[in-house]
This record gives sequence, C-alpha cells and structure tokens, in this order.
Amino acid sequence: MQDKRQRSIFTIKKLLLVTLVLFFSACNVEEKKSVNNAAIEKIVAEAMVQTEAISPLSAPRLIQANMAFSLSGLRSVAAQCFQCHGTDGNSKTGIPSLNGLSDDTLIQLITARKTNNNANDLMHKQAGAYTNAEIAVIASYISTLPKEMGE
Amino acid sequence: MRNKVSGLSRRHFLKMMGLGVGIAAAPILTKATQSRPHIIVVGGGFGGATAAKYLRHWSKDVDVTLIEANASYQSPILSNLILNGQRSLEQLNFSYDKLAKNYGVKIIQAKVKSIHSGKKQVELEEGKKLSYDRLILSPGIQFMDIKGLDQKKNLHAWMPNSEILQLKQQIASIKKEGVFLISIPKKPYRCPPGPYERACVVADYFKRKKVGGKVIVLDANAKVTVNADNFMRAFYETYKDIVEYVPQSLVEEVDSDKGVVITEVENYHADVLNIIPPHQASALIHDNGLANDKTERWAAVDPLSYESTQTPYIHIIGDSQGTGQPKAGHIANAEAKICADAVLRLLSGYSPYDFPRTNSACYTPITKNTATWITSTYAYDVSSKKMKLIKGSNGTSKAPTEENYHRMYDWANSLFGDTFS
Repeated sequence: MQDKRQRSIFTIKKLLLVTLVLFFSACNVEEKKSVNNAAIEKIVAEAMVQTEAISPLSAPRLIQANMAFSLSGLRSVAAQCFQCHGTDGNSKTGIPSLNGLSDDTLIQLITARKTNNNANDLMHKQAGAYTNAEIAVIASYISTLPKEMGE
Repeated sequence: MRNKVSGLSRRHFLKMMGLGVGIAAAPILTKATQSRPHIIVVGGGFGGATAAKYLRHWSKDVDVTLIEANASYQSPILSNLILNGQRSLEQLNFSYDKLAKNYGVKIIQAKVKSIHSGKKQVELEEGKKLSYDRLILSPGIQFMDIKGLDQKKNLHAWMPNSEILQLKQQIASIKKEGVFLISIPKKPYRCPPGPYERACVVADYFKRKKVGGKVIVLDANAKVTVNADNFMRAFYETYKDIVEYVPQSLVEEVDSDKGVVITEVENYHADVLNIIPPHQASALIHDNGLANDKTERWAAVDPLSYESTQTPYIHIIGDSQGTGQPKAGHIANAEAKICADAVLRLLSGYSPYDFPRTNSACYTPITKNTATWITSTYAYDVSSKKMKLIKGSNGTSKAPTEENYHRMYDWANSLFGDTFS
C-alpha cells in the first residue's frame, strides 16, 4: 500500500513538472536553459506516458484537473500537425507520416527542422514555433497513437 | 467553472479523452449522467467538418450532428486552378459520407432558421427543432453591399460552390486584348493570398493563350496584404506587361451593365469584373446576435474554447469568428480541433486547455508549374487573452518553385483528408 502511494506521489510530482514546463513554454517566455534541456524533456515525455497509470483515487482533485490540462493540451497541440501529416500522423500524401515513429525519432526529426536555419523550409518555420518541451510532449503523444485509428 | 469536476465520473472523462485504456478500476466520484451529450455543428466547411470529425474521433461517448445546407462541399482551396483547367470541380468536391461512415457523425442536409439559445435548440427551416448541449457554428462569411453591384453579372466566385465554373467561362470568352479586373476588399477577408493568386493564374493564362490581355488588380489595402515579395515580383516582373496592380483602390460603385468600376480616383472598364465585396460573418451569426466584436462584423469568442462571449454554450469557429487569426481553410481546421477538445472537456466538467496553438499554411500557384508558400503559428497570450502570432513563425518561400507546385497538391490533399475523411 505504502509503496503504491509513494509511486503515485512520485508520478504526481512528475506531472506537476510537466504542467510547469508546459506553462512556462506556452507563456512564450524566452526559452530558458533549464527548459531547453534534453534530460528534462525525457522526463516530461516519460511522465506523460506514466500519468495514464496513475491510480485515479490517489490524486487530489486539483492534481486531476492539472493532469487533464496537460493531457488534453497535448492532444489539441499535437493535432496541429495533422493538417499536413494526416489524422493521427497517418499521411496519405507525399508528406511523411509521423505515426509509427518512436518519441525519440520524432524529437530528433522535429528538432532537426527547427535548428536547420533554412528560412526557405516551411517546416523550419513551423517547428521553430514550438519549444523543445512542447516538441517532447507532442512526440510522446504521437508515438502512442495506434495506426490508422478511426478508419 | 474552472477546475470544477461535474457529475461525470473521472473514468467517463478519461474515456472521453480517449485515455481510459489501462484503467481497470471504476472510481465513481459522483453519479453518471442521464443521457449522452449531444453536440450540433452547423456548417460543413473546413471548420465544421473537422470539428464534427474530431469530436467523434476523440470520444465515442458523445453524439454529433452536422447540419449543412448543401449535399457536398466544393473546396475554394485550389479552386483558382479550375480557371486554367488544372483542376476540375469534381476533384474539389467532398461529400460527408466518410464523416458518417468512419466517425458516426449524423449528417442532416438542411438550413438553420434560428437558434433558441435559452432552450438550447436549433430550429431548421422545415420547422424541426433539435436540442444541443453544445452548439458549434462554422457558417463562414456573407458579403456586404457595393453600390450598383449585380453579383449575378459580376461574380465573386469566393464561396464554396460552382460559381468558379461560370467565372472560368467568362474568362475563356474574353477576346484578344481583353481586360480582366479583380478587386480585393479591405482585410480581414477570406483567404488572404487568394485574390493575388487568382490574378497570377489569370495572367499566366493570358500570357500563354491570349497575347495582349490585361489583368487589373484593384486592392483596397495600402499594399499586398500577404506574401508581398513573391506577388510583387510576379506583378512587376513575371507579368509586367499584363498585370496592373493598383493599391489603395477601394471600389465605391459598380455599373454592372456597362462593366465599369468606380474608385475614388478613377473609373475602370473591363470585359470581366471579378468583384470580391467586403466580408462579414455569416447571416446566422448576425441574425442571432452573435456578431459582437468591436467592428460588429464578427463573433467575439474566447480563444481557449471558441465559446461566444455573448451567448453561452455556443461556439464559433472559422471565418465567422473574430480572434484576428487569418480567415482560411487550414486554420479553420486548426481552430476546430482546439474547439472540439475544449467542448469535450467542458462536457466533462473541466476547463479548456490553457495554452492552445493554431497554425496556418497555404501554397499558392504563381505560374502553371510553380508555387510559393506562406505559414504562421499562433499561441494564446495569457495577459491579453488573445491568440497572438508567434514571433519568427511567419514566413514565405523565397521564390516560386516547381517543387512547391507539387508540394501544393500534397498539402491540399492532406488537409482535405484530415477534414473530410
């Protein structure tokens, strides 16, 4: 029991971190070094997956609400990729699919486009609009989506 | 309202959010709701179709009805290519069958007569009344009057219908050394690059087929409103003997019988007048008291949920809303996803997500085999409570290229697929 409770608290802490990271990143605060840090992003990505495993009754209501913010935000922000990359990242055109790629691969690909300094690349402009923390959670969300959902 | 957990159980909520997998226990905070929430979406364009689809894609615990006056949708995106024969109307025609089949959206082909917001009901023209828990309106635009303009003679071809075919015929019948005139209203108007794109497509057609033809572009704005470098280069270099670009030329009056356009400065004669009148939100918005922004032309909404600031439980997305984001199909799809997510959360007793983002992108043909692109991304600004352009996220391609021309079809087909299938 105690062990389970501690695990929950640990996950809740991670969750709060996610919420904080999302808060700071979405405030358009100048990207701080602490946020722009691969280690934190990894934790964020992991936390997003682990939040699903939280015992529903263990978290206070406020935390539940915060979790809902993060999870839902994740979905609505990630879905902004689907105008071009297809619903749930399943592309039916010459634009690459995102579905089926791991979170690490997605982070690498999006970050590469963000940092390529090619002003003539549409995706460079798009990727540059998201903080590294947001890219991490977007990647995490898309990597968990089933293939061809809704078809 | 914020942080409030309503009668719906958390499990129900997670299920609605599509995250219920793996949670075996059934923690019931309070009693379950009596009936399934019903969301009505009015208008089956890029905004409405996307909202209806994603509501059901993300939750099978809500019922969604899409009310649309027409049997299918004719996309204005790529429709300028009908003018030069590179696309057919059939290729840009989308039915709602896939939304029904793949997502279980109920489709009703009907016109909405009125909204009874107190009773949360929509009344159809035939008299039938439908109840909603949340109502999403994506009805597009309507045109404002220009003195003397007969819209049947001087087509705008700026709505999702077959009028573009008539304009194509008019252009095809222009004699040698004939004149095509297009007028652009003051912004905001639907599809910012669209009129300039149309001028380029017609100029390219003249260049290839009708030596000596002229394209006059009367722009009510002080300068090209978007992608200015590429369009100015097209007007002053690529089509320098064909296009006459006249900024700050507000159309004050039209003589449709004589084919004359009157601006403050000059009168223009042309064989084909393509007058795009100034826009405002659709009549459905105005007739129901929802056009409450500062200009009284558009619907003021909360950008976190697109809920009207005037009437609760009514959300407005797409070209009718007045957040200041561009009015175009790609970003209407983006807004629809934010709205769908917010509506599902609100139905579960949660608040909308605090930091939504939307993006806009468009490929624009400049010649028969080259195109350019524009893009921008918007984020919610906490202090002003508005969607704001993210610094550095807006840009255009350096020049029109053949690669962009091919990528244009990928972009459009992806957007069509994400919206209608």
